[in-house]
Amino acid sequence: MLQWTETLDGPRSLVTGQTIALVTIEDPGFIEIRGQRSDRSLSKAIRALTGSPPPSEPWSSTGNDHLRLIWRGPDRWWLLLPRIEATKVAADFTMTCGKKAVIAELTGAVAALRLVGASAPEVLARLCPLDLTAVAPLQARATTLNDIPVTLLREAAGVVSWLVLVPRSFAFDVAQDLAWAVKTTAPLDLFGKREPPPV
Amino acid sequence: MLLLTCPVCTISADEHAFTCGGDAHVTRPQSLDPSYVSPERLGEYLNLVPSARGWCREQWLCHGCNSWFVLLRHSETNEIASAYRIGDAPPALPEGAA
Amino acid sequence: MKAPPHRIKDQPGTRFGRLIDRSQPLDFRFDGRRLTGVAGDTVASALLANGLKIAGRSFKLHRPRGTLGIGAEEPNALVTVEEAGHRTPNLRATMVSVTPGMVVESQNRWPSLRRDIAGFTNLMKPLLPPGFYYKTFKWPAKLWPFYERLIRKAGGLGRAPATAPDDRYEHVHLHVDVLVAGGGLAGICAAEAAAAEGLTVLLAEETSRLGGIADGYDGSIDGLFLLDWIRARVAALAALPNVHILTQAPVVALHEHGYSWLVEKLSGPSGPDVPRERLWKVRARETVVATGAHEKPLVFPDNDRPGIMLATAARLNLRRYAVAPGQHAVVVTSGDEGYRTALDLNAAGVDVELVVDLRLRPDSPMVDIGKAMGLRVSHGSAPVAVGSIWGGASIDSVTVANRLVIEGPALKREIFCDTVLMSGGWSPAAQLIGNLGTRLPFDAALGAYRPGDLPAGVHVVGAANGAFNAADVAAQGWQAGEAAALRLKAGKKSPLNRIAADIDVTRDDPAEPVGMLPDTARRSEEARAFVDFHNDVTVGDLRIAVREGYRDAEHVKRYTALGLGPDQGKTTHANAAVVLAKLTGIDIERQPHVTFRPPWTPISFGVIAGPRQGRGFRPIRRSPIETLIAGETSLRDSSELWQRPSCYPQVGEGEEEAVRREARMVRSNVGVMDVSTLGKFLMAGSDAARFLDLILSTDVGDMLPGAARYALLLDDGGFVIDDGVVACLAPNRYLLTTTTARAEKTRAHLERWRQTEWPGLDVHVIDETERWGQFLLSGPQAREVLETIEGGAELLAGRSVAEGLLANSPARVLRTRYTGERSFEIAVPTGRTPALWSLLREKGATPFGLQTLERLRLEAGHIAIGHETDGTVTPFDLGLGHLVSAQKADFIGKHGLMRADLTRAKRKQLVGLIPEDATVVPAPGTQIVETPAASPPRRTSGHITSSGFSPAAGRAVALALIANGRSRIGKTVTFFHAGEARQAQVTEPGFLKARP
Repeated sequence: MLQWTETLDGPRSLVTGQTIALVTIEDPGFIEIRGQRSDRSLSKAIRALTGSPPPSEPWSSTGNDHLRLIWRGPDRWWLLLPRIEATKVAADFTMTCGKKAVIAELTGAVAALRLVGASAPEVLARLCPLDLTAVAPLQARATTLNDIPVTLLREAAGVVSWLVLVPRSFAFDVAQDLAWAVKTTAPLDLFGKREPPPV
Repeated sequence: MLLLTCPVCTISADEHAFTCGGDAHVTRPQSLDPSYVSPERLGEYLNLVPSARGWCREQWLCHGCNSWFVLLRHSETNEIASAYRIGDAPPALPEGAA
Repeated sequence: MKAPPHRIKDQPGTRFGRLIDRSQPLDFRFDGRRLTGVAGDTVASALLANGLKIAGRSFKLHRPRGTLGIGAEEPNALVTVEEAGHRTPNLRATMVSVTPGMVVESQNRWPSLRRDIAGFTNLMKPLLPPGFYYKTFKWPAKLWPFYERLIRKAGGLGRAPATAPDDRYEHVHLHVDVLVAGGGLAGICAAEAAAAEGLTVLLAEETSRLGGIADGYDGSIDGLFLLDWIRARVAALAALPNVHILTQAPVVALHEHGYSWLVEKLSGPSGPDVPRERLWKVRARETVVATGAHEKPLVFPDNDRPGIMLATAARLNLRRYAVAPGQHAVVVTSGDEGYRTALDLNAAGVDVELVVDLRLRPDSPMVDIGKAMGLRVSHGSAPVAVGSIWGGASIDSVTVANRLVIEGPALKREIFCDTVLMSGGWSPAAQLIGNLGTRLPFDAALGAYRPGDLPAGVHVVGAANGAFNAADVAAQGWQAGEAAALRLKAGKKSPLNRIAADIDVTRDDPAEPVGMLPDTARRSEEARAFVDFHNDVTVGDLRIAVREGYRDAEHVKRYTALGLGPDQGKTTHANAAVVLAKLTGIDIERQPHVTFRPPWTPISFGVIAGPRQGRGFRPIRRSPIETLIAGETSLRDSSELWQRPSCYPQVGEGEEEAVRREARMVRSNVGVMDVSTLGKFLMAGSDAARFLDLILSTDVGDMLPGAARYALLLDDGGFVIDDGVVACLAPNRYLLTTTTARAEKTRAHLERWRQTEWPGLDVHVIDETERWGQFLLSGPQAREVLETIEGGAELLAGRSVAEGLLANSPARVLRTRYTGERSFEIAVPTGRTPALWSLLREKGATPFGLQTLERLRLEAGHIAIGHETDGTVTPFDLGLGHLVSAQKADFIGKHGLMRADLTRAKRKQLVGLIPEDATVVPAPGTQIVETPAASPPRRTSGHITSSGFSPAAGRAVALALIANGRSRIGKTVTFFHAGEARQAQVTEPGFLKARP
């Protein structure tokens, strides 16, 4: 049996601070689904799997603690779930999704990190050109992190938590860049209360 | 640095999040006889680029949602009039345009 | 003799010295001398306070110069500053605050500021006209290297630091509703109006204090002194949750769609963890440019001498730092501004000998106030000459004459003084608008360039917009804030909060725009009247340029270096326009300014690079076994962002030895190479086969599951752009594998054709590149090795490609022959590749790298994309015509291939070459020479595309593209190697049959 080597040695903590923490998580199971939302068989199969119809609003996601289905394009969804279940789910899904949809298990193609804490937006502001304030909870965005393509998912409302999905070959660099940014970023105190500057 | 909005996934992002693919609505030469296309017609298609000063329809790829779309951009002022999906009817040029 | 110190006596209750704290003296060094300043001083004010009027030597002519201005416009006082271990050259002394222990050095002089040897350059001025390097230093040509060394040594300003500091620079992205560039009165008003409508506002100020130059003026707003009112408004702004104020953060570039760069200088100690500077990349929906204006110098002979200063700068030096420019002053002004300075000088105890008003009949409140306060004023006069004690640099007199002389000689008067303050009016500092490609029209009444049409979403207010009275400035600021809010809230009702105030500041008459003074200057006087202080460009230089035919501002600029210095001509371009209009006779409205390019002021390379320097310069993509093999080899080949192992040298082996050993092992035994970096694309859908047939030149649509074929990807011109293997996994499900270097581009190519040309096809392209790690197992023992792994035998049964389980892991196996040996590309999920690599190594496979693969495929005569192809090569040129379908109705490149030029006889064709000397390996790119005996340029007929020593053949071999190559097989060709002509025999590509 060929063993699985975790991309980032996860799960482990990379940096922990007062208002921020960066952790690697285990390589997620990852299935790419291609098809049209209007495809009845596909919709039905997705609903059976996730409990909801496939997300139609760009960048929205559905799911639960166990799995998450993310809109990634007009004919594309990404399904994240525990790695050990991915192969079976992909195989079963291929049977139920109908003839027109295309299912590909891509486990291993992305690695994942989680950035948690009130300072997370300021750290991301150093690395991503995205307007993070425009991302609602459970929405995703494709952007770059220090020029490396990543997908960010803003996790549930309540806690400030961002899931960072990065192509496997870039994962080491992204983890390093994020860790360094977390460790060394001085607070910007954007729009906070400050002493007025002198005149 | 242009700010573009993808009409497919509605996201606005810097131009680095997109790739420009040249002029849109360019017809690839075909002919009734599939084994022949006139060299002149082929030469135009391969080598002559309109490069207009003014409103241009360009195809761009959104890296985020992997969709190509068409952008109506003014090549001098970089003003962006509209963006539409491939296959949609192209919207009219802005008022007063040549 | 050193002039007496110029810090005026402490007069509590006056308006002088408000920024300094005399109770905190600071010691610093200037050119080795210990000097004392006080807390709050800038280097410029501290030098002046100590009576040092000379701050540097000019760039070209090494003329002694003093400080001219008060801020970013300073062209003369450039110094090198060393503090806290950092040494930075070319800083403007007016922008640097003195800190205890600071070491300051003047620049561009040797051995000292006072006795600069290169000062003789000034005497050589006639030998250094504009474009002198095209005219002088040309003969004898042999001496040019000598001249060049001299000129290089003489060029430049400050010296670059010798060591790279361990500094950190960071980038921050920010999105806001409104960006206000400039924290003076206009900017503050714009910010408060926009903020009142609930918009998010970023207010960015270049210096460390808000208020701009309001402290140079008297008056009241709503009954409060100007500064007190501003202070209160700033405090209110800072308390708002939707306003963020940055100081020491100029907007250095303005780009389209509201994108701008701000460079923030962080105070406090810096180090590896704390950034020194921060680049803000801001995207604002509306931008307000409130960047103020610069005072214009006057152009008259010797107007660059130490002691001659801009009038408002001198006044601000008094008010901020209690520093007087001299003891006996003459003020020369073309407008009302000079009177304010004269009044302040008076009040500070400086003798104002005369106010020289260039205007014939000025009649304004400031003139009345001035005369009422006892100023001696002369109307319609102009400075015509400046005098100095023989041998000295500083001035000791100015000669003034009537401007208009109708009959008889001009009445001249020499006035003894040690400083001349000049004001030529104001020039809007709206260069940021120019960044957007907009040209600013010349406003003849203002005598300066002033913003005209603006792109949507950009507003210019205050002095940057040509409004100089405080009431107009504030009104424009508020209006812009409201306008921005209206645009962003289109459809909603107009703002309710109309901000206003009662502003009472003396309204000036406009200054009269003037060019060169006196109006009747002689040529010798023109040669000493400076238009560009930094680059030493005089009216005489401009006249020479015009005489030589340069009339357009852009040409004159390049020819004379006008406005090209680090000050970017801030005190230059308005005067230059007036002078050039007169010299060329071209209407001034038709004199466009030069293009205003970012950055606004010099910025460090460090801040531009930000995190992308050192270790962070470029991302590196890592193969899934990178950690496993990192210790085994450091020899890498770059391929896009990958760093692929070249080979795996054993102890004592060099690269070439390792490559030969690995190649031998592959041919005799079995080797394994990591090819995880290859592009892998799954194409699925009912039209998958049809799509593949359209994009590839090869027939692939007829393949059955289990089949695999080598195929070519062409562009529509018929040229080879990539190659790869197409494998049919199942009906309507194909795998396309392409080269590493082209993987991203090919993926984009596939998507582009799919979506824009054939959107109706039912096919999906899924990028599986990062899902599968892949190894190339190659050699006579490869099959055996694979069969010993659980599941291996099933995967090898009969077909070219198979999907299944290998050691209980999902796997695919593809048969290939790229190396010339029987090979298998084994793919398993990336997470399992380290385990598979270890397993294969345990079974005796020799690891080999990219250089070895290159050698093996060269021996086999196989092409490599990017070596044998360069965008101009067709499949037929490569002898791969069998990979071009003869029956497909259409595919990309089909018609391109039929073009006459691609089918003509004498095209270059791929052949093999065996050099006669078995040890000579000609480098790729070496030309095949048809006429070696002739002197260069010789006629060539092709080039070598790949080469190397073949362990299998025991000699050097190469592939080449040669005109009519195939008909020359068996013949000899010539190439040059290390300067000597060499022969090689032309053969079929491929050298394995020639094995001894």
